[in-house]
Parts: sequence; structure tokens; C-alpha cells
Amino acid sequence: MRAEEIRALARSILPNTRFQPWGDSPTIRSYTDWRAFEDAFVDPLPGEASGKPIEDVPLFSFDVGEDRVTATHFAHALFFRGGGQIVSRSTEGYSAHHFLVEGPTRVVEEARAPKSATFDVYIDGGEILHVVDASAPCFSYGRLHAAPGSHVRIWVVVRGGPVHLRYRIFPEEGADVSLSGLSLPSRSDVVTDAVVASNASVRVRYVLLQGASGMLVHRGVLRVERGAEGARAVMDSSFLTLGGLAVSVPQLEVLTDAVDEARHSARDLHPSDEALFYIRSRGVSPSEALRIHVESVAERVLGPLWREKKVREWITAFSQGL
Amino acid sequence: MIDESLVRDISEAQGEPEWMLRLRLRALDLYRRLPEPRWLRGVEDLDVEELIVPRPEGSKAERWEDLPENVRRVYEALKLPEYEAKILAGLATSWDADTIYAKVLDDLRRRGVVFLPMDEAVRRYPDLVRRYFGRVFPMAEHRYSALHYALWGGGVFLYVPPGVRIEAPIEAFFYISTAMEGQFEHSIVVADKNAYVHFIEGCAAPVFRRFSFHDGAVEVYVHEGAHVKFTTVQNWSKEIINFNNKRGIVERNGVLEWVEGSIGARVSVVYPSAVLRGEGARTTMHVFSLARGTLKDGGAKIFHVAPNTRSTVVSKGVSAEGGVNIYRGLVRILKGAKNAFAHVSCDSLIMDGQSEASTYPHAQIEEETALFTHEATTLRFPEEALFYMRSRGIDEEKARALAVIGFISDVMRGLPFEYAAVLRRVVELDFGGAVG
Repeated sequence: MRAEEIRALARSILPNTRFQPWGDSPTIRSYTDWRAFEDAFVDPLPGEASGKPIEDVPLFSFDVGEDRVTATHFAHALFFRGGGQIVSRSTEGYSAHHFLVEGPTRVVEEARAPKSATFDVYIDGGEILHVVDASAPCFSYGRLHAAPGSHVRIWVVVRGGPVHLRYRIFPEEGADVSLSGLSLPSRSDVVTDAVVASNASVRVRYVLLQGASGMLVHRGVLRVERGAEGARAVMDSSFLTLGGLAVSVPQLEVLTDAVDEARHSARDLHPSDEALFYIRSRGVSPSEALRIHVESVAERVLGPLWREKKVREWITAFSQGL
Repeated sequence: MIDESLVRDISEAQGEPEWMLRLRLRALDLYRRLPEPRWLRGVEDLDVEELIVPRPEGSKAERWEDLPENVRRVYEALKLPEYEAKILAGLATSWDADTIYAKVLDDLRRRGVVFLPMDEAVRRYPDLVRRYFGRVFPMAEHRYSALHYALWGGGVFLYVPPGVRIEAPIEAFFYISTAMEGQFEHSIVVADKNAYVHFIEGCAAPVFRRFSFHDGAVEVYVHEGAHVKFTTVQNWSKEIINFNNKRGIVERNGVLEWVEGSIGARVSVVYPSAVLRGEGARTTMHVFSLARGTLKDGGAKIFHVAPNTRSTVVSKGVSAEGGVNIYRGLVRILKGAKNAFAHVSCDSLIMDGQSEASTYPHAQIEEETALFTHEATTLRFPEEALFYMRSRGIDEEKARALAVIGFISDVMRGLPFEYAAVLRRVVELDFGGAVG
């Protein structure tokens, strides 16, 4: 498909596209202020994007009319082919980037001005590292296709906001995908969805570390399709708040009785009384004990991202506020 | 047709005061303005304008013998007079838009307990009813709650004075007699300071060729130190589309126990909810739903507003023969609800490859000292258990029923013995075929 055709298609359907296909229920509601995103996504500038610009897009799995903000993004998007290392940055005005990604990649997104980015990822094994650092509206949407029998690990960290980060994961038969991520204050809405095929496995583990204000959200649907045999779908969501709103919505849709494992859980991250007692009995103050606990959780969740200096500084800054 | 003249007709037939008519008209206006919920499944052919909304007739019976014979026979088949004599402290029965029988033990009446058909309570105790009517479940919550408030008819009002404990349960039973009917009964249960009551809500309908629509509401008010146990055994026939708007407010150190059993109905959408408004308020919600070729969209909603509040939700759903079970829940812990504790557990059992189970739990936490945990599992039918039971001489159908009963046994514990026995029998028939 030609890049200009995609932009033209998005422009043509935009007026008749809704912000989201669900809504108006007290429990199924929007956690992103879509109107604010759309209002910010005007007068695009190229921004900064690594990767090779492309006009022919050989692989394209997005529905440009999935929602209004996605359509707005594709109406303005510049297209790139990348892998290994991707940087998508906005500094002065709105920028919209689409990346075709094949293979393991490290993605760094920086929104100093409004930005949107989409990632069409085709991978047959390895890791995706994704860092989002936003001080302006940032819309980020990745669709990840894991080849049959592949083992894929996704590591995500999100800081600042407002951010809407969405992952849609499509593991083919026998693929094993895990997503592990963490959000830092103060306003982000992270959606991790997956459609699980036969003998495939998806495990999502997400942590929200919320400050004294703002709203951090993690939600997502793991869907096991009809006829999928031996699938595994697990989602764990946990959070710690210092007074801001933390929202966890781990969801399951199971359309078969042949599922091997389907479960989800959510909990706050307060250490148990026994753990606190143990640490305090060694002369550590309660706030220091909590800091140690939070940093150990972050280390486990962030995997290789924990080794990145900037990410560790973010976690340290949060834990010192405890 | 649902319009102002229908609303005025209903209000006039019930001899209501002006404030109630104004409330109905406000609700009608809201119903017209609120959007159709886009997230609802299974109600695509529901055309509310097509429904017959029966006008309340206002007839009441003091004794079973005074009821029309056809009505009495239905109640006798459902063993209601027997339950009233043996285990209940009070019983009310509704037939379409009328609550035609309501009786409570004389001793309780003397101690100030008020148990009346809702229309009669509105006339006889307007100030008392007005304190609670529409104050717990807001009419603007969604389009169908607004419709309910515009058209309500039937239901009961129960008031338990301070310090009064009613040890035996009180039951209200609702019956829909015709197809294409809308039933909108409204019930209120109030337990004043340190009072206790167990309220049971039951329902049934014969098999119709077309659907009928039930859009009821229950408001529970638990005052300081009071304790309300509210049990619903919903066993509508398979043509009923069942919406029920249920909410309780719990004051300081009050307790609200909710058992919500959903057995029948073609589509059922019910989320009992509790607002824990006073310090130390507690609630437990046990929800079970059996979706055999039907769609059950249920769950629970809890709002922690005050410190030291506690909530526990246990939900069990069984899907079979293409049935769909949906758990939709919400736990909201507001800032200031210090040391609040909430635990949610929801499990689903899928009996075959045509059935579905979905869980959509929302946790919205903004209090740093709160503790919250949620866990959910979707299971396939345990073939190992089936093999084990069959190897011990239990036939397959009975073994399947036993597995389902075992799965929901946690929530069955909250039911009185007689109702648990009925539920067990229904499961045996529904999931194990006819069992001797």
C-alpha cells in the first residue's frame, strides 16, 4: 500500500469515525481524554524519526478507522522502516510517525510536543524494549505479530503524560509472548490486548507507580478465540498510589472450553506486614523499607530496562518521594 | 406507547402524591435524553415501545383465599403459602404491576415494622418513603433506570425500626403473567440503627412465545450498626429480559450481605452495588449465574467512601450450551477511605466449546493506605473429576451436575436451606438432565 493512499483513506473516513467503539457505561468508559488529544494533533511537523523513510508500505496491519485518534494519526503520518533502534521525537510541533519493524528493537519515544506513533511489528523471537517519556500528549500504538513457535519478550516503561499507549499482540500458533511494563506518574492510559491462538501463550505483567495526583491506568483484554486449544492467557496488574488515581482493568474473554490457563489478577503493591517487619527488624525505617520494596518490584518488572541509567533515575526519583 | 399520558395514568391509578408524579415525569424526560447503552449485548430486539405496560389495579388480598383462583394456584405451585407458614416472617407477592398480597407477623407489626406494597406505602407513609425513594439508586444512572422510575409499579417497602431484629426471613415474590409485558417493580428495604433483617427476593414467569421485559429496582438503606442480608433467587423463564437496578448505602458499622443468584432469563443484566458511606461499614457480595444457552451480564460494584470499610466479592459463573457469562465489576476506593480493604474473586466455568466467559473488573484506587486484591480464573470443565466420579459408579449427567454444584458451593452457603435445595434441584435438571 502507498503511504499517500493510507493518508488519503484516513482523511476520508475521519469525519465519520468515533473516538472509541465502546463507552457510556460507568465501568466500560474512556480513561483517555480523546478530545484533548485530537485538539493537539494539528499542524504537523516532521519531528525526529530514525529509520528509513518509505513510500511503499509492504506490511500494514492497522485499521486506520479503528478510532478517531488513530485516523487522525494516519491522516498525517510519515512512514519509516526500522529495527534495532528507533527514536521518535517531537520538540516543537505535532509529529506523526509510523514504523514498520521487523525483528528485535529498542524504541525510544520522547514527546516534548504532541506526537503520535504507530508500530507494526513482525518478530520471530527476541526482545522489544519500549521507553516513553512524555510532557505533551503522546499517542503510541503497537501491533505485534509473533511468528509461530517464537519466544518474544516486550519490556515497557512510561513516564509523564498524557499518554495513551496501546499494544495489540497477535501470537500465532505455539508462540510465547510476555509483556512486562511499568508506568510512572502522572497521567497515562496503557492498554495491553492480545488475541491468543492455539497452543500460544500471552503473559502480561504491569505495574503502576502513581504519585499524589493524576491518573494512571492499566487495562487490557486477553481474548482466547473459539477453537483455540491449549492456549494460555495470564494478566497481572498491580499498583501503588500516593493519592493519585490508579486504575486497573485486567480483562479476559474466553470463547472455548479448551483453554489450558486463563486468569487475571490485580492488587496493590503494599508489602505484607511480615515483609515490613522483617526489614524493619534490621533497623530500616518504614519509608526506606517501602523504597526498597518498590525498587525491587521495578527491577523485576523492567528487566533489561532497569539497566538503563535514565530509567533507574526515574524510579529512584519516585521511590525517594515515598 | 411510553409517553406522559401513560406516566400520568399510572400515577393516578396508584393515587400518588404530587411529588411522586413530578419524580416520574423527570425520569421520563431523562429516559428520552439518555443514550442507548452501546456495551449491552443480547438486547438488539428489545423495543420498549412495543411493550404492554399494565396499569396497576390496586386490588389487595388479606388472605390467600381472597386471591383469584388462577393466581392462588400459581403461588401454591411455587410453595409460597407453605414457605410463609414454615420459615418466613413476612411475604409479599406481586402479579404484573400489582403487589397483591403483603403480610408480616403481627408481633413485628406491633414493634413498628412496616411491610407494605410500595404504592400503599407511598400513600400511607409519604414522608418516610420520600426519605429513601430514588435516593440510593439514581434515576440518571442509565437509560433503563430512568425508564424504571418513570413507569414503576408494584414492589414493596420494608422498614425495620431501631434495634428490631427479624430473625426469620421476609420474602417478596414477583410474577410476570404475559408475554410482551414490562414489569417495573420498585422495592426499598430500610434497616434503622442496629436493626437486622434478611430479605429474600424471588421471581418466576411461565414460558412465553415472545419475550417480556423486567426492569426493577431495589434500594437498601443500612443505618448505623444495622445488618441487612439481601438474597435474590432469579428464576425467570427463558424468554424474560431481566434488568435490575440494585444498590445499598451502608452507614457507620453497618453490614450489607448480598447474595445474587441468577438462574433463569434469556438475558440478565444485574450488578448489585454498595456504597460504604460510614466508617467501618462492610459488605459481602456473593454472585452466581448459570448461563445455559442464555446471556448473563452480572457482577458487583462497591464504592468505598469512608475509612476502615471492607468489601468482599465472590462471583461464580457457569456457561453451557452456547451460554455467555459476563462478570462486570467495579471497586472504587476514594481518597480519604483510609485502611479500606477490598477483595474480589471471580471464577468462570465453561462446560463446552460453544460457550463463553468474560470478565471485566475495574479497580479505581486513590487512597494510598487501601488494600485491594482481585483474582479471576476461567476454567474448563474438569474432565478428571468427571472420570473420578464415573469410576465410582455415578452416571455422567449426575456427575456433571455435581461438578457444577461443587463449583458454586461457596456462594450457595449464603442461602437458606429451602432455597439452596431448590437451587440444587435446578442445577441437577439444567446441567445433568432429569435426575431421579
